[in-house]
Amino acid sequence: MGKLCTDLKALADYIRSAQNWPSEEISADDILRAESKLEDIIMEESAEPEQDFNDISDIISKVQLAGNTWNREESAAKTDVSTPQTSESSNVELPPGVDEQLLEAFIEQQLAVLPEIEDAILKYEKDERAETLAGLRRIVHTMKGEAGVCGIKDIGILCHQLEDYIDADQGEGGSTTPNISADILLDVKDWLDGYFNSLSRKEAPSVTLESILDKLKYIDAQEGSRKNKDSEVSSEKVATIEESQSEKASEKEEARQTVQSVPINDPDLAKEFIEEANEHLDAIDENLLVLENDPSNMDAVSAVFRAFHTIKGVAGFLGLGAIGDLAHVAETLLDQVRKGVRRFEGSVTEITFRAHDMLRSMIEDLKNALVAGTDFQVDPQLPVLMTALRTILDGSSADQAVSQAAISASPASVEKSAADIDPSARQTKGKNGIKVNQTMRVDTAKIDNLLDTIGELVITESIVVSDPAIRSLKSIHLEKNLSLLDKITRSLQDAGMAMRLVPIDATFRKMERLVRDLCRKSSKKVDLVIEGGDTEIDRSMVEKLGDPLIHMIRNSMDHGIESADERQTLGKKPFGRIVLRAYHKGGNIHIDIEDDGRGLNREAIVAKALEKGVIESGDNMSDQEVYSLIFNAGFSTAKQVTEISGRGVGMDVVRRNMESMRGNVLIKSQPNQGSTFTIVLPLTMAIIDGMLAKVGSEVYIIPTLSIIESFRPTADMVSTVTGRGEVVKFRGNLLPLVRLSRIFGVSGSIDNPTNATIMIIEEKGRQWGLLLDEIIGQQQIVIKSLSAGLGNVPGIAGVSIMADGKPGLILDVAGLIKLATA
Amino acid sequence: MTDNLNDVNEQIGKTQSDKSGKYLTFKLGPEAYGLEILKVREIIGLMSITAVPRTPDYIRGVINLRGKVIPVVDLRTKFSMESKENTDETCVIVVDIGDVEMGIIVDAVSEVLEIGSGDVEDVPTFGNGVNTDFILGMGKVGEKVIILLDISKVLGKEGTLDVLALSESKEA
Repeated sequence: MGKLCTDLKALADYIRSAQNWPSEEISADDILRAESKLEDIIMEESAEPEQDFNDISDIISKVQLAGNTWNREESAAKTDVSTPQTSESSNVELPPGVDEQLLEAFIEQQLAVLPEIEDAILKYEKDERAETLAGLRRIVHTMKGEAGVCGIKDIGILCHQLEDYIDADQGEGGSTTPNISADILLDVKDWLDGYFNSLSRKEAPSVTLESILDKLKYIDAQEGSRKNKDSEVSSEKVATIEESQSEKASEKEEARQTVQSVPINDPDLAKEFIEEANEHLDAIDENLLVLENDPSNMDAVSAVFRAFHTIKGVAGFLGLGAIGDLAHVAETLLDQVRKGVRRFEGSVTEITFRAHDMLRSMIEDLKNALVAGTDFQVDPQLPVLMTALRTILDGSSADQAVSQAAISASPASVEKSAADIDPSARQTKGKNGIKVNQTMRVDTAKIDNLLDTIGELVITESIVVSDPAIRSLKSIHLEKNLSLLDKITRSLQDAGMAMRLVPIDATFRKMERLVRDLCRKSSKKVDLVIEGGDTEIDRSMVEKLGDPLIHMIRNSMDHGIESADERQTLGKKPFGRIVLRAYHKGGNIHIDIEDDGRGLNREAIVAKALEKGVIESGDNMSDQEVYSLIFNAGFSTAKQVTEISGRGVGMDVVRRNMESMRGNVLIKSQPNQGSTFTIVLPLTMAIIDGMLAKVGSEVYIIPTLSIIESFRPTADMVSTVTGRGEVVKFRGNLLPLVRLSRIFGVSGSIDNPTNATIMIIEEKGRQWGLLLDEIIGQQQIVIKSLSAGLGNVPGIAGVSIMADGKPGLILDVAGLIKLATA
Repeated sequence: MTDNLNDVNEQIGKTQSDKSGKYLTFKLGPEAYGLEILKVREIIGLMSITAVPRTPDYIRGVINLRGKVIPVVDLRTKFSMESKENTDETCVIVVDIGDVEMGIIVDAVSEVLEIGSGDVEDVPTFGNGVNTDFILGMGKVGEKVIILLDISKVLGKEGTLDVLALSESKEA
């Protein structure tokens, strides 16, 4: 009820500020009158509650009617005289009292919410379930409310229309008909995306509200006849929804209280909720303390009210009724304080603190349940507190209730602290549960800066530690401290590296939309399956990975997956299947793009390569070599260029981006079974483990990842072939031996292999022996690109500052093999 | 007609005034060279250089310039002069060509000279065999003749050394 009062006031304000409001039918004053009557009813001060109630209903339905006609007129005016209106509506005017920070926070939050909306839409498209739609509606509703607070009218109007649009369908006897077009919903989402993005750049939105409203209206108009018929009924319905909800809530409460355990439906959301709720509880805590000293501080009351309100909203959304109910009652109490009906003192203070404590302990329980992967157990003390709260709300002697609640609450808290003592026991319980972490938002520029500095620190640390002057001191004390310094630097480096890592899930999710859109365009049916979304990759790679993934999925869709008819004649399922899979393997990250389409056509590729003059003959080429031909620019076997692909640009983009990430793409393919493209990426782009090896007077760094083993050979292990090539026997295999000194033209190296060292390196599954003078040691190195002035040097992957401050060259094993075999 | 003439005159004036300005002069053997001062970043003493394999021989390698790795070019080798032992005066001039920083090794740095447009002459033609593309002009200062270098042309197309092409031609 309290909520309804606030809503009514807000509505009155809105109508006052609205243009062209048909005020002859109903005015803001009428609404305010209704609000005061409602307050009277709540306070039981009304002489004729029933009469008043009818009046209120009357006013509300009048508003509804007026709102409908106004909406129609407004949109008509907008479409007819679009230019002046558009410019007005696309300007973001901050209403007085809304600060920019609030707006920024709002935009930031909405940008995060948009992917959720998209997810929900895509999910709905698949399952067509009312719950999914309801979830979507809730998100939209929240956005509407928040947009209203920030004074962004466009969003408010759009969200409202969108809600109507969704409701129109839900209203039909509860059965969901597929009248709702996911296309339209996605259009709205895209529009919102564009709008918020322009806002975040502080530009006037490039998209107009009319363009998107028209789309929604078009559908509305089709259903218009039915809607008009129902409009009066529905308006009453809407007006009474709030009340009936709050009435029902109390009924439900009792039912709920008997149900003591609640399953957690969406662990991810619940996790976020816990973090958020804790923040709000902290805010409540802080403000309650302020209020204790200064009960008349209305800012603090409002802050507490808002926090309870938010907790209520999200808890309801998650189906955590018990938490929502408690927050709701607390909120109502504070609303009365806010309105001046009550003073924040005595029992009210006491019970608010209790509610806060109870909420905190319930959130803690929820967290534990989440960790343990069990259902959320509602605190058995909750009903007692609820009764106490309600007694106070009812205005009866409250102190008694409070003391009652306080007494019964204390044993609960004792139990709780006992549980806290043994957190390890709880941890072991959590087999399939998820970990709940606290997070903090930090500007990425700050993190980059920190990581750069850590990189420099690592270099400088190793320069200092290996400084000959320090080494010559031979002090044990110093040694000890230096090794401690080394340890700390390393853990700092590790922590820095971990900070760069983000789950790949978000990148994968974007592909869902792509696949969906491509399906529409190409009239193919494809299911996208995502696996290993929680695999973490370097943040800087995420951006570079997006484009190649798009191109590769497009290729799979266009070239790989056949049309539904073709698939059926081949005896395949009509639905094509593309699997996006990320996993760790051998210190690298692998990303598979797997389809069950027609596979790569070796003959067509060879023919095209011959035609282009890329190769002279395809006879002696391995499949892998043939397949990698498709990475050449302008290479396409597609007979015609479609909207999706065929120009031969995509795979070139893939190759370039992979090269810049020091990654690789492996291709496997079976005719009519499908193909698998595997992207292999290093864990992180900036820091690698390397072996330092000496050749003549030069020192090179070899990435430890490529090294299998090193040893000093005996004379019988090395033999020459036709007097030129050399081979080394290694574990029963004869491997080609490459003399680094010869490839790099280094003089003064050890010529006789028995005095030197052979390092076995592996590249693309093949092993090679590399002849070096000696191995100096192992070091973590920060990779820098070889100066732009030098461009790409074959056989060199990059450069790193070594312990003595000199640049050291990092070998590119793949390039080296290419040089050796050229 | 007169407009056209004026245009032409202006253009001539421009090219001449383009060549005038401050130059950092340095020595390579008996010859004196000049570099446009705006392209010079700093002058550093010779430090240890890491050779980069399979690059043209005039690229001595790379150095660590306060955490930045930049290539170093030996101008003597580039100009096909015989190489010389390093002395105390040998130093590296760090130049900025576009976005790329590069060091050039010279025998000694002399001074910064202001050369007026009247003191710059066009490059004489030497016939075949002598490439003069990278010379802006010949500056006259008193009795001395200073070869004014277009450093971006010395170091290759648009500042990047075409290492790949060179190493490939070597292999062939």
